[in-house]
Amino acid sequence: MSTHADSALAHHFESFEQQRTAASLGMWLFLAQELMFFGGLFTCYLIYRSLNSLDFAIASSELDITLGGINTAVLITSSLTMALGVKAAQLAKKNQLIGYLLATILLACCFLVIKYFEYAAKFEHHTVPGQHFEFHVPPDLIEKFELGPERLVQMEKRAEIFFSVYFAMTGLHGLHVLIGIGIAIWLLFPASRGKFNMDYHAPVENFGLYWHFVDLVWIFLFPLLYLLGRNIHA
Amino acid sequence: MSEHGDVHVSPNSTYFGVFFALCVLTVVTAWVAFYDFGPFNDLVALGIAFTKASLVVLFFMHVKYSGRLVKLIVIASLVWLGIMFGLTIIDYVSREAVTPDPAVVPSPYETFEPKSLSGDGDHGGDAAH
Amino acid sequence: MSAHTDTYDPKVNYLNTDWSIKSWLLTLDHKRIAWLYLVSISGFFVLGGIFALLIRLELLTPQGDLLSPDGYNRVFTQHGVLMIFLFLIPSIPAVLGNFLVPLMCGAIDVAFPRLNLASWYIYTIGGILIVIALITGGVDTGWTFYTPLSSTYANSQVMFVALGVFIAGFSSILTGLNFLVTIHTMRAPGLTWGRLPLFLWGTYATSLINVLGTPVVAITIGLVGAERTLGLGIFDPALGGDPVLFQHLFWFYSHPAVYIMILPAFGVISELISAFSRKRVFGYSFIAASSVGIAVLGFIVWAHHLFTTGMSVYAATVFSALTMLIAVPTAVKMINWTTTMYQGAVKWDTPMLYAVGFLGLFLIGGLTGVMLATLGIDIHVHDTYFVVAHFHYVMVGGAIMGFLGGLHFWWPKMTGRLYPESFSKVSAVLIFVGFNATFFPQFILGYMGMPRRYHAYPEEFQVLNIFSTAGASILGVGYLLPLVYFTWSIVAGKKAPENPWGAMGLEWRIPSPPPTENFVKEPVITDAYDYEHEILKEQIEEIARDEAAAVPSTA
Repeated sequence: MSTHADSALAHHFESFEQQRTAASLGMWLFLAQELMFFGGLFTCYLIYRSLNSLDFAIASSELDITLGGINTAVLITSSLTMALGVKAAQLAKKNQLIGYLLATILLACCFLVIKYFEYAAKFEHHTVPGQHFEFHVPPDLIEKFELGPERLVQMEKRAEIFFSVYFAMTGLHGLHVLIGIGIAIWLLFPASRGKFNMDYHAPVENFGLYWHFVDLVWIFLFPLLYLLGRNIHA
Repeated sequence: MSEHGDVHVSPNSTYFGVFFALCVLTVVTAWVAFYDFGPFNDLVALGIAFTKASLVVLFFMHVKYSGRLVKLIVIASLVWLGIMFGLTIIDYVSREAVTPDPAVVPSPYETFEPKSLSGDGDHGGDAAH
Repeated sequence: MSAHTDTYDPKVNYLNTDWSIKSWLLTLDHKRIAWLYLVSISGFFVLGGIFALLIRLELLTPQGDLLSPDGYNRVFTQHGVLMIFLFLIPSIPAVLGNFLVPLMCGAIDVAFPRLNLASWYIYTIGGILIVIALITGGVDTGWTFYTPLSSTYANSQVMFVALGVFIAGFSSILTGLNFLVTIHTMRAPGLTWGRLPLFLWGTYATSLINVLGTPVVAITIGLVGAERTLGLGIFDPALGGDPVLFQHLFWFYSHPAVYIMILPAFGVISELISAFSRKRVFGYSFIAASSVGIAVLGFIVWAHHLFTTGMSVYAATVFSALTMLIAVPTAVKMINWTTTMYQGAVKWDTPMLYAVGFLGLFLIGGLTGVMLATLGIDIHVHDTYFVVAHFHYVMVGGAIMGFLGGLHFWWPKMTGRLYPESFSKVSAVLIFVGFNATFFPQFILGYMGMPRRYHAYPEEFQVLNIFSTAGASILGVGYLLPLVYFTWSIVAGKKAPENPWGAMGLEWRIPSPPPTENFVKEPVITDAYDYEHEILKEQIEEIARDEAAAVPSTA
């Protein structure tokens, strides 16, 4: 029991190994519930997409693929810096860990800034669901799919469902990025005191898992929201 | 309980290799999105997304080196997601299939509809469809 | 844990170690957190009970005379929300589970004690929001928050209730997560999966549902909130959205939620029947496996709540068949319990009365569930009192009987005091009789066609409704009695011995009430159902001597 004097091992655990196993298991179960949390939104997407596939494709072609693509790259890079950060924590390399955490925070902020410009453009073009929602099908597509006036009205209305799903999914994802930034900043304090080593690095490792999960969600959001209508003009 | 006791440390080359693969796949998925493969569009896009996701899960999240329990949680949560997707969609894909065409089989309820209400505007919109 | 032996003082236990308010509100001890939950859920139960009483009083007469139609809608909504989200779902897992999971595992605490305390605070915040909605006017959507009623037409208090349910949901996710990790990583050496007490198996299965199901209802209710506040139109038919999708997502959690209520009760009943039959539980592995089986199967049946709401007939048939599958693992349990009692030395102490009451009531609740799973019958009795009676038989006759049985069983361990046996037996019988008198007439009413959720009804239904209201008043007295004698016993009850029932579980091998560190010496894991074990012999003989001495004085 002498190890209990060490503050990094909580009193109700027998060993570091038990504590590490518990922390990692708890985090994975938390991610399982996160997956189901996002899963509800993905189900909405799946159902509405399957009911209105053309409407979704046309509405999707309005999204900015360049910004979406850059954001994908930004998040993937932040995942890399985070993975390297976890390794630095394991090896007790204090300065490296701080550097990688700062890089991750910076990239996450970058993601949110780009997201802000995307959202701002939506407000400008009135493609935000609500009273002022307006959506116009591009003329070449009206011709291509031979949309009658009735279908056109229906489509311009149904686009709102697409944008509702878009804002719900990216909004929830953005909220997770924001929370991630908060946790990363909080981790900087113990990291700067050199608290992490091979025995005790669960907070960094678990935040890493969380961050990779946020990246994973975006890996699916990018093709599902941005890319599905890309070939509609072809 | 010692099934994943020892901590795994990956070499940097693994992380950079995975990162490179993810970047390439992102470019590929954006590029092929401009081509029309007909019914295979989603299959291609989701296939690439799954490949990317697997890389992240296996190497960045260390699942490749984790114990059976963590692998089980990953698989179980995907199965549960599948249950939610699968059993919800069977309702939507089969609604039209087994609802009789009103033109061929007149609904028995129509005869009971009170005459006074028939011209009363639309109540539920297209909620019933 | 050997370090604590030298400093152990048998007079100090987890209750009297520190009585300050701060030591309770900031406690990380799982046993004290169980008490925090017990106090809060009892409060919500009384509140929900008052609303039940109002419902029954209104239905005493065919006319709507006590409540306005709108007032009645608010009352039954509050009854449902309080009872389901704030009482039934946390009842057994958060109170008995928190107290027992570490004890049965032979651990000092749950894996994440801080998270455990945070869960209680989260739950309390959720509860407060729901009560705020109640005070400021109440909600009339029913506990199911169906769109577009909740998203477009209902008053804005619905946002408070939805937020409350959303927040309280995270409390049950975190509690479930905590228990899963505890059972996986904190078991004492020798406590293999094949030796795990059945209560832990029940809790394990429940926690699986908590972790995998609750987030779905959270996001669904979140979307309703987004629809009201931000104008996102996910379930809005005017935009091509589908309200039935809301129902799919809602019931994806809320049907398994029924198993969140009943699975821990199954676990409790398994312990009770074995302990009071003084016999090894029959078919241990079948009971354990069927708990997990129910948790999994519970996720593939949800759409039987949607048979009449416009879903496809084809899908309805599939769900009807899948729903009937649930009867298989449930029947396995029932058969194993009755077989455990067969040729056992059955003792009719209060917990056993609840357990046997549970068997009868849950049998009726379960079998009417199979009736309702049948597509044709369900379309006939959907949204009638038949359904109301069915789910009260399962939730009240099942879950609350299990909760009260478990509370009576472990009360001496939790408080170190015995409650008066005669009062508790009277209240167990009152609850059983009152319950049947309240809800059996509702089966008949429903089958005759009385719809649920109306404040008035045709006169021919009045006799049975009077019967039901009379039963409810007996039930109310039955529920008030434990509140009185439990409180009394804390102050003046007889001191409880270590093992008042002659039961075999690990928690009966430590003092009542337990010390803060749970186990004074390293726990020795024995088979939890080995009633032939020698360590029991002396304790059982002692109980028999006490009883023999007590008989002449009561006769």
